[in-house]
Amino acid sequence: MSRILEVAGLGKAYADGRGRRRVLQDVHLELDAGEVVALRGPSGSGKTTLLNLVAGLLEPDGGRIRLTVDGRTVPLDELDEPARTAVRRAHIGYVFQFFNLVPTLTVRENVLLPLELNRRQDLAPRALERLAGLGLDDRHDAFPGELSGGERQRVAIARALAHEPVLVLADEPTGNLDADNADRVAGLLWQEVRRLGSALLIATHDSDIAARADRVLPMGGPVRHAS
Amino acid sequence: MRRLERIVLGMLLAAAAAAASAAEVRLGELLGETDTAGFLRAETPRPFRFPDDHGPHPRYRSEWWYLTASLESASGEAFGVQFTLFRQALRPAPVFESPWDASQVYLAHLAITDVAGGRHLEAERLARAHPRLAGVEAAPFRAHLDGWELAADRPDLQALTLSGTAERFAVRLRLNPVKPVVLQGNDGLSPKGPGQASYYYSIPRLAVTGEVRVDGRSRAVTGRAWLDREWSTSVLGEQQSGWDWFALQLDDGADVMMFRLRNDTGLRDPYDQGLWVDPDGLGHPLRVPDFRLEPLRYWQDPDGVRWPVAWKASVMTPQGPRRFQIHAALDDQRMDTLIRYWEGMVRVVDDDGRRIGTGYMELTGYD
Amino acid sequence: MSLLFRSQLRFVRHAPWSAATALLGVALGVASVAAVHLISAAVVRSLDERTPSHLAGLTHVLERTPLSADDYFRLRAAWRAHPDAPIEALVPMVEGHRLIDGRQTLVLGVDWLAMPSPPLDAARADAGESGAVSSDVLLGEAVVADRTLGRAAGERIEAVGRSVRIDTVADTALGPALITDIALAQHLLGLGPETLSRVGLELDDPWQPWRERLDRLMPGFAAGLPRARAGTLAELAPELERAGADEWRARPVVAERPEAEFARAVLFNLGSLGTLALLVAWFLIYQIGLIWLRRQRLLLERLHAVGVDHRALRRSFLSVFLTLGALATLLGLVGGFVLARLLIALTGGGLTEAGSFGIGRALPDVWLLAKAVGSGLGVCLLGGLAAFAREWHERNWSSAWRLFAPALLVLLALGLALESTGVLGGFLAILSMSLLAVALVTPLLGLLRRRMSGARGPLWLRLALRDVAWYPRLLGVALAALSLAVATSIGIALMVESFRLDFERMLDVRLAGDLYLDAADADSDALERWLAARPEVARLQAYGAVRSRIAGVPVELGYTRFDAAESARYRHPRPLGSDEALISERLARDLDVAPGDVLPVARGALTVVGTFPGFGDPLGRVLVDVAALDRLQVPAAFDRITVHLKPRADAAELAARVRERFPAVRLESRAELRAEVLRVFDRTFAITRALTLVALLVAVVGTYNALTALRLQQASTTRLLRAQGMSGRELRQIALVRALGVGGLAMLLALPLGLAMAWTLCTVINPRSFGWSIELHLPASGWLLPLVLGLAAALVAGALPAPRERGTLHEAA
Repeated sequence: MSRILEVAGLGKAYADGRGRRRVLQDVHLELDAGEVVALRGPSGSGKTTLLNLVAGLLEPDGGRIRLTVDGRTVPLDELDEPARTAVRRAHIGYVFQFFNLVPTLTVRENVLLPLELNRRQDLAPRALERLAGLGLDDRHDAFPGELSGGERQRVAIARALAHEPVLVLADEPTGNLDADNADRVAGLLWQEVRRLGSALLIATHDSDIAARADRVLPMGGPVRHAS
Repeated sequence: MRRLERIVLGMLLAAAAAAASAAEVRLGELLGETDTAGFLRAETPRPFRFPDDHGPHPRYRSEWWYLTASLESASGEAFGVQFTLFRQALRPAPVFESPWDASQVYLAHLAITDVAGGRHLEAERLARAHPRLAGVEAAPFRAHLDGWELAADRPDLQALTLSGTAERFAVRLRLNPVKPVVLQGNDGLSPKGPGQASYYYSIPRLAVTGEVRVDGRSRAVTGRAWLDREWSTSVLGEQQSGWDWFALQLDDGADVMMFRLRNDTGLRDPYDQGLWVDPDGLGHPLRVPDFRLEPLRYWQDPDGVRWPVAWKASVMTPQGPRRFQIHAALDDQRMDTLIRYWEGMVRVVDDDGRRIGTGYMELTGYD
Repeated sequence: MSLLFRSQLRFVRHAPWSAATALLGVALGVASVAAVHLISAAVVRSLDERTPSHLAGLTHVLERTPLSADDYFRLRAAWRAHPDAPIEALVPMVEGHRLIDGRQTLVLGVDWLAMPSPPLDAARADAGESGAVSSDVLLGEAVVADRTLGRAAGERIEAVGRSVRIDTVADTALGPALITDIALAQHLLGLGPETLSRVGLELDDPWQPWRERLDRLMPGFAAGLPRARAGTLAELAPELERAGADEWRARPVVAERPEAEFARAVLFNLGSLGTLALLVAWFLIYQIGLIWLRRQRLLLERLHAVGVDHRALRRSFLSVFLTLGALATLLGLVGGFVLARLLIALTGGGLTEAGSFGIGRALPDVWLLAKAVGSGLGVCLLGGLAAFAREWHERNWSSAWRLFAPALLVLLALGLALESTGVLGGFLAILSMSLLAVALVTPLLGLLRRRMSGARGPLWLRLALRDVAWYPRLLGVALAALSLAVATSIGIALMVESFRLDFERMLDVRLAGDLYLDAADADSDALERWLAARPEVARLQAYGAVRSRIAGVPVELGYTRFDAAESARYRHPRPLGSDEALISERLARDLDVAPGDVLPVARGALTVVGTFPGFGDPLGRVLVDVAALDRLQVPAAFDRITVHLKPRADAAELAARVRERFPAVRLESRAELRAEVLRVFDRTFAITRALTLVALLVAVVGTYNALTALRLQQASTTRLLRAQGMSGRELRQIALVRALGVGGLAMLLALPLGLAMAWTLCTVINPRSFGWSIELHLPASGWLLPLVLGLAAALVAGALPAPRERGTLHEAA
């Protein structure tokens, strides 16, 4: 198993009304290809912050984030914003709890969005196949506003995986769904990530979802170190 | 009434484009001594010649024909009628040989008092002298302005007709003198102040029949009227602020005219005067000691001006002293014309409140 | 309630940018209304002050042929016998011309004592600053002289064996004129006492106070109403029908003062424009109301859930808007004074003398205050209400529109087709077409959305353009406002440019000479003789004019030697015969005559052989050859001379010699005259252009607001796209293209609407307002500039950084 992600000594604090609030301190995390790690913790424990740091949307106050792609290790914490964006665009897929889709684009356009951004039209047939596999073959031309919550999250999965990223980040992807739908969406996410051989870092407070993960990294309370 | 003379002239000048509103016109300045240059003045008694003197005297500055009537309908409703024609000369002689020459200007007031209806209505018209617009002719007598007319079929003022139509009322009266002309003041020369006087005569009683119409309703009326004629050039003294004038017709056949000049001093004006006319038409001048007039009651109009509408009077007549009271038939008989004054019908009552006569009262200079 | 209000105020504190833009937009609207009011009130005041006293208080002028004093007295007697007839005054007048001091002078006489009494105000106005007019005018011993006679008060005029004192010098707008008593006027004109020219009438009009109030509210408003048609006295006072009232023609007195009517028509046009910014401000408020409600929706729903009723919610919501409105009114009033000063400065005092525009005089004007407060509060209240109904009650107006649109179409058709609807009808037509265009915005966006759903193309383009079509509620209003403002800009600019082109074309034809001399104050005969003897002079053309009447309508009768060259200046192919005349377009309209018709002029008759535009002439004009003057019994006097020089002659040198020899002569070269005339023209329309600019500014504010709201609405999408790896540059590109899309769409709507407005202004409003029509030209400067400006405005609005306001509730959730 090859190492995909290596996070060490990561820290992040936000300014709030009274000063700086430390959200993450000395976080360590390693993730191999095909591995699923769940981040568990209450609201405000820093799950989303950690995901955003790994995605390169935020800059850490300290620590290391290393992403390994095709045998090359990229020091995300050392890159500037445009370079981080380029890495994210090409190698990371992201699924959110809400607003995973661009409302003015159709299902098909949403799914193909990463391919257009990366100019990888060659992956389109596979991406559309994946969409069909997610049970959305007949909704290609629908707009997100016309879909149910479960359908939207399935499209979001298809979109996050379209450019076949090495790392998939998911922030409470089932948090907005009922139990049946949550179970189904989680199953599909696992299935597609495994099929691609990508690593999945998922933030959740759902114990059923967490139970499916290879490892669970508890968040909140005293800052933990994961091994 | 000389107050009115000022008012008329002030208004004419205002209409002719004065710089200030009529109320602000400084009459004293406008009527400075130089303004009277070229006019004749009433200074000495003169022989009166009729019917000529019923006509206009254009060489004198101002002149009026003043008719007031106390009337009653068959059902006993009381009406008062006032028709006044003022003549004002703007210059002593015409400068255009045109009938449009503006040397002479006429102003007329027509008013009716409907006592039962509680109404006093008035109308006002103004025009330059022009055969087709306004003017007075002596024989046959005709005083007219823009549709209102007092005219006689005969030269001696017998069979006079007053006709006039205004927006809410109309009058059509036939009048016959029942007393002859009486001369006021000193054989018709009525002094008003040092060096100031007018020529003044009256027909103190005319029998009236006719018709009045108020707000569309007509009534046949009968009653008695008073005709005053006065002309002069001089003006009121600066210290004189206004006057109270009475023309009363008593049911016993006597008539009396009295006026009281009001001045700044608060004392009686030495030029106050009057005339007692016997039932047979003989006149007896009244001087200051011969009569007293005292206000009994004031009426305050909506503008806050207080008008004395009831009076106590005592007169020394040839037959002995008489005492009576004078009460306005209606409190509000203000003339709401360009310049405001009070001219209205009064009832004369004795001390017990019984009616002993009717008449007209004029109050000026109350602002 | 106060708790709710406080919560609303706190919300506004967290949305300072949109609150500020709302404030700015409404304040600009109020300022534009206030400025127009201030200017108009000043103009109307100076017009009123210039009412010649012989017309003061009159409503109509009566005429009949023949008219003798006897006719007047019979009419007067009939009126006095019918006190219920709605007549307040009848005033006999005489009017005619007489050469006085060698100048054609209009002599007017009236019976002052028959005037609506007392004509004090008019008297004061005539008196100007000098003080009182003495009763000598009434007595026929003095006259009021127009300033153009160049005489001073106290001087004497010797005429017809009489020495007459000039009592007052006044601006009567009648040209060289004397106003005096009827007796003196008859004497000066050599008329007998039986001769009258017309009779002034004051009609008791129960609607007059209301008309006056409307005119106070919107100075010049009366000029927008259909012109009262001339009729007979019997139509005005049926009570006098049996007294021959049907033999008297009655014309409204405004026709006696075409100059004043002209100025009032300009004011009406300005007033309509001034309200445009207000209309755009309404759109802005409505849009901000929608945005705020959307942002607070969750909060308001919670409040409703805990028992606050709709009315209380609406009240608290509206009270915030009213607070804004009150602030905006104050700002707008101050801004209005500043704007008015700026606009006046722009015209170079062309509309009103700077001196008469006293702000101190305007301050106690309750109408101004009422209008400003009404505009500021009204716009905020109505905008807030409409937004609440739309967003909270989900009220949809499409069904109302279905009813409303046909009504607007009918209004449009009637306003355009029926000349009798006047200028007001023309402007209602413009309003109708604007509202119809605005109503098209939402369906257009729907159509666009359907079209775009399947569209291909680069991702950023698809994303940006779909944003434009996807949120009609957020953008529709801004689009409407922007397109309305741009359309008006286009309409006005095209009209002005077309007018300018026509005007220049006319100037090129008319300005055929090399030097133009005004010898009104000089000995024109001597000047002409001297010029004729100069070797460098090829041709001299002397002109004169006199005020006259045709069928009672005041006209300017101009005369010169009408040879072929002179005729060519008016595009007439032949010299004018002594029985022929050219008339201005305005006069042809007023009299309803066409070439071939015969006109009674002065004491003769003339055949109309052609018409000419006559731009800028408030008075209808008749041009004849000098040979016609004898037939018309009009004495000739020339005061303007045009000099045509021989080739290679030096115009400047001749000008210098003329100046030296005839210092009283005013002299201009063709180039100077042309430049001067065009400068005056451009100044005249400076206010118009400036007002459309203010409206455009408000629309830009609205567009910025809408785009900002759209950006906030798009925050989650933006986050998603960023997570997806889209760079900041790409996102900015999308924002810019989105703004361009909004701008482009607005322009797409604005262009046809603007063209329609321009057409209406040129061919409907102008003829009705001023009596001339303008050929519609489409120079690029007319339509391109507003389009580019509108597009640039949208781009700037899109490129400006979005302020950080508390995010939408979606974000908070």
